[in-house]
Amino acid sequence: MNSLFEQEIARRNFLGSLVTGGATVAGLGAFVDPLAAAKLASNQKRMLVIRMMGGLSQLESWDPKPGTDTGGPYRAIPTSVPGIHISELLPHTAKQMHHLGLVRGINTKNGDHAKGTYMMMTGRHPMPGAEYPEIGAVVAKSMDTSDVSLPGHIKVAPNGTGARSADSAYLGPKYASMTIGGDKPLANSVRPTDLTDDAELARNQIRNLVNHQFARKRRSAETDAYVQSFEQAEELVKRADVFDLSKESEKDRQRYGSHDFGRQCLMARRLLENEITFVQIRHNDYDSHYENFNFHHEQLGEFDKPFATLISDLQESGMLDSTLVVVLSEFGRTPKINSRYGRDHWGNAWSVCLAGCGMQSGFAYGKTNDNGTEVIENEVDAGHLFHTYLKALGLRSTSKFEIGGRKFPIADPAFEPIQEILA
Amino acid sequence: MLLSSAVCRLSFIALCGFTAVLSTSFAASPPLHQRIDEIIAAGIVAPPTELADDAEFLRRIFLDLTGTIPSPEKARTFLKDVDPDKRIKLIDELLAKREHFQHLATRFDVWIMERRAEAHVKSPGWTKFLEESFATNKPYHQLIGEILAADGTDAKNREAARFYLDRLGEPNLITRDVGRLFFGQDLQCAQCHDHPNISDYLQRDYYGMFAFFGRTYLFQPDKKKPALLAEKAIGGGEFKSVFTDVEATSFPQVLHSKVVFPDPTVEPGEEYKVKPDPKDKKIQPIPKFSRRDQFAKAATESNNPAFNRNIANRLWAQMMGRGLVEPLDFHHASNPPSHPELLELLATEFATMNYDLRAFLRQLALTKTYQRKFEMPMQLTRQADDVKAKIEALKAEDARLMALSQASAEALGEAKEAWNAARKIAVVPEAALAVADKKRVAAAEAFTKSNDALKISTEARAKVVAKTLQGKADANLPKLEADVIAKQKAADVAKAALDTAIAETEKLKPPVDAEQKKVAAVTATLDAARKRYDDEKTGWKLAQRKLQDAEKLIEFADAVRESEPALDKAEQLAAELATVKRESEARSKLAAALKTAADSTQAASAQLIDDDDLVVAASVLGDRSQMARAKSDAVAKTLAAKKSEFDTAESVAEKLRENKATTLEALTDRWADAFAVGSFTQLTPEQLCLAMLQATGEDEKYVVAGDADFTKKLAAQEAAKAKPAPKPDPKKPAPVELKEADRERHVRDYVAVKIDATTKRFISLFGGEAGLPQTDFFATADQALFLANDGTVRNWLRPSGENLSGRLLKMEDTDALAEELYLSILTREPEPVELASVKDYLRARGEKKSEAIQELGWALLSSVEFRFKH
Repeated sequence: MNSLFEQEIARRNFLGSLVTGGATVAGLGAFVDPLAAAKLASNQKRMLVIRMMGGLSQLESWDPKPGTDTGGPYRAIPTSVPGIHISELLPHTAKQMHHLGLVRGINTKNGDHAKGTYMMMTGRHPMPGAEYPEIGAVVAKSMDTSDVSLPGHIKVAPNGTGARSADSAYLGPKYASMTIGGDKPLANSVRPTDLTDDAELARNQIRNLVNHQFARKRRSAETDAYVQSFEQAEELVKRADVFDLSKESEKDRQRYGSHDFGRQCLMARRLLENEITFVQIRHNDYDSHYENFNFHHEQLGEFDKPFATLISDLQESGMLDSTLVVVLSEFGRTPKINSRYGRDHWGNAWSVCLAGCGMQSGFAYGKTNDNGTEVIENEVDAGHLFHTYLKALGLRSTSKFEIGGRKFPIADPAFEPIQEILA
Repeated sequence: MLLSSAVCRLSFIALCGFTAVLSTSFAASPPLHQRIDEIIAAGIVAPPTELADDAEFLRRIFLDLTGTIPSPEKARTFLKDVDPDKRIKLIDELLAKREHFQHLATRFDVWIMERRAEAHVKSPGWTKFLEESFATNKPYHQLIGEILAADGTDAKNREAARFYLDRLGEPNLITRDVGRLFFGQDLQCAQCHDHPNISDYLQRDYYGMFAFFGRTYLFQPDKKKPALLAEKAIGGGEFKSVFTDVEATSFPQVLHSKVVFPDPTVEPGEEYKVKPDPKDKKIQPIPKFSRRDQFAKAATESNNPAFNRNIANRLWAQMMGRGLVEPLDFHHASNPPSHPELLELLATEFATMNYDLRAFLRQLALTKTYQRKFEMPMQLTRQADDVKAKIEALKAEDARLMALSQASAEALGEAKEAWNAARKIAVVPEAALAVADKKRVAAAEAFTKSNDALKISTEARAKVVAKTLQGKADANLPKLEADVIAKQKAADVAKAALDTAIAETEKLKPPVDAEQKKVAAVTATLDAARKRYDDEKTGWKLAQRKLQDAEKLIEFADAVRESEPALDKAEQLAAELATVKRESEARSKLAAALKTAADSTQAASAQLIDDDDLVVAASVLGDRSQMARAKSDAVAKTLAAKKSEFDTAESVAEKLRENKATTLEALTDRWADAFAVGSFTQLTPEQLCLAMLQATGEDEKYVVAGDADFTKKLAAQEAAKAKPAPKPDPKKPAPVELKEADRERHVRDYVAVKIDATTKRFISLFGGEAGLPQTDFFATADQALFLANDGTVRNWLRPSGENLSGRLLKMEDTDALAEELYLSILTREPEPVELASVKDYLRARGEKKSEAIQELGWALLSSVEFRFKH
């Protein structure tokens, strides 16, 4: 009896180049047709979410009300779009306004960090006993086109090592986010030093043979997925550079700034360039119950330039057309200035900023009254925004996921997309 | 106390029932496992796969009953054993093992807690509570009864309260999870409205369940003290449909039960044993009538069919790889069981055997259904021919049942409309009555108040009158007289108002009763229509499934037959190509040899100029060489042509093979749904971890250490006995005396502690998201990276003492080595071809035997065969 090896080797020699189709035997290279990959890239859409943690003040950013009782000390400045003014704390962003859009009439009726985050990330109102997937998981699952690829749902945070989060609910852990740091490799993505190339090749070869042998007895979508996870792992090891920020040029690193948020923006660009479907980055410390104006001066001062640089880079490379960018918080901040020069939690009249794929640009949709205490035109809720993101990415936001015999609407059926701002 | 005596009573009744069954029907009907097999056989269109061989059975039963794979010694003993009853004996042996109790505890924990974070109850205590329950074979309904009755107050069974407390006492979450986990019904949609697509998921059912928990909340005024469950005495059960705006209130009612638990009538203000105090949050209110208390008994002791079906289905799924109802928590009329009759049988039998888990699992393990091979039958195409003969009959049955269920769907729609209409009419007098009743309550309160005031006035006057009688005149007397008269008047007015209010409510009652009677009548019609529709639809779905099974089998067989000529052609061409290739190689070799000979002769002849013979020879050889070259070229050409012909045929064949594999895969899924082929599921994270520890010999290391630890503790205890007893410390509990019988438990506890961190690592990578069902399979790159590059598994594979790699390293005979490797990891002997591969591999890795062994071990541990249960 010939051994599996001999049979396989004989078969390979015998059939020459023909043997590339045996799914479990062929290496990764066999699947990657460069032409097909290029075609995929041009259709591939992506999404970037920038979370302003703690609740960005709309009055110090997208919807300033200077000279009113609620306006605070900062001026409003003109932007590259005539008629749209934003806070003077965002001078670089103002120059990119013709690529951006603002939704100024958000009313989520909610001032709780956890609930607000939940609503903005899932597009649903919290309901006890029910869990819904975050936008990143929904997008990663909906856009999951190729079988072998890098993970589709990535969050960037300092010290991230590639651990999975619980944010995909019924879509399953495959679409849960991996949190990466950018300054160290993903967990277990570096081969141990005592494992030589030969040994690695040999042990995987025998693993493939054992799997090949077993596939004759029983094969299913599950066994295929398990085999594939090893190929994905191999791909991650090979492409570990994708997650390594030090591979970016010194010049770019300077342009984006050496602080954490600048690094995150550059990392976001890098990940999007590498076909990661969904990326989320964050900027901290907007929960300014005290000294709101000093805090926003400092934080937006850090935010403004790298954000504007990122938008401009994405625009110049042409990627903005296929990348949806959203800057959001869990809520806005009270028009009323409290006794400690702070602003408190406020979900009744606030703004987000959107740009790119599927969206119009240079717009301000929705309106608040003169001192920003209520929405007076085109009021929307978190659910409308969620539908809008999906529609902008070319998805039908009224469709359903079918999972394990159950149907789940991909977005809350009580809402619909904001048609007026979609391209 | 109350609960346990009730349980005793119930067990007694159940026991009587059981003996009655024994004496009458039991003698006549075959054991449960045979009845299961009969029902399964009836639902299969073609013969199922044969029984699994011993090795396949061994791995499966070990994983299912102990959560891990057997040691190689155990495997060897079992495989060699010639006792025809060895499978039965093994099942009984495993069911009595400590590992079985631990495994069941893990399964129940994952099912009931769904990997929710530890919040108010420590997880190890909770799993220990489960483990001990299984060790004593506590009846299932009693166990669940204890869990549902616990509120965290009693320190002795605080662990049992984890179900409620680690859901933070959230009433909607508890309602949903009780429905999902213990009744197999996810009523989440019904929280806001009747389910739009599922006829038996109703909002009134959801709120009937919710009413038990709507008053419950987490009580922890002092964060340093343990949290408890507290309960209010009012509210919980009111709802309004977001679809129809119809409002209603449900009283507590268990799903599928007709028994309603209305609140007993109490005077306003008298609802509590301990009243809540808005000023003192540290007082835990205790209602006189606890709705939640009613639930534990009502759910577990009423022989509720949904409660019984749920657990029967879950235990079935645990053993057979998939539930009769899937998803396990989504049992409803449009998602009927694959085998309704079987589910009914399992549910009733489990209840009849007094919810005896051990006996029930034993019956499942004894079935042929459980013991089938996981490979599809070999003669599928032949089977298809037999099925073809039956196809028309199957089609006719499908059409007949479809028509029936369509008619009953229409009837149901009409009944629903009638019910809604009746409710809408009934709401009007109900609302009027509610308003009047509110007025009545207010009038009653006013009357009580004025009566109290009159009493006070009367008493004050009486005192003064008494004094006057003693001769001490009081100037206040006239004022007091007047006050009494005024109070009397006020009381009379209040009484009159109360009488009017009572009369008003009485007047309004008859119309309400009349309307409610009408509603009751249409409710009965509605329930009947729903039942008919559900039954008929279930019947139709079954017929449909069987027909589709038949069609798919025929489709597969036809495709296989059609592809045969092309596959044969490819095979024939492959053989021809091989022949031509061999000839071509021979020809080419010959041509080369002749060329060499000709060239060297030519060279020699050039040196020996006068040797004519050599010249002739060189010339002849030159000719021959050229002829051979020409022949070789010609054959090479034929080879190229053959190769191209083969390539074309092979690419067609490859597509057909792939197509056959896909069709077979789909067919296998259908066969698995019908339980006609052995189950195939992933290992749970815990099973995967334990099996790897077992395979690599790591587990054994801890077992040996745990055993030594126990021996040491036992010796220390004996030594202490010899000394005079120290004065008992009243603060510490008296130490429990160890007995030799505790050894197994001690060792397993010891191992559990040692592997805890590793198990958690596996859970974080291979487990599902908290709060969601944990049964879905997924495979991600981080899992593969962990297996490939992390130190954990690689360290287990490093040769050390008697661990797997250590044993293999010492073996000189490669046959024995391969056998030990396969038996330890995959619980089977290697097939000849695999044996040869191992030898090849070891030879190829030459000197690096230790590395080679570790690589082989890793490859088998990372294989599909290891990752799944089959």
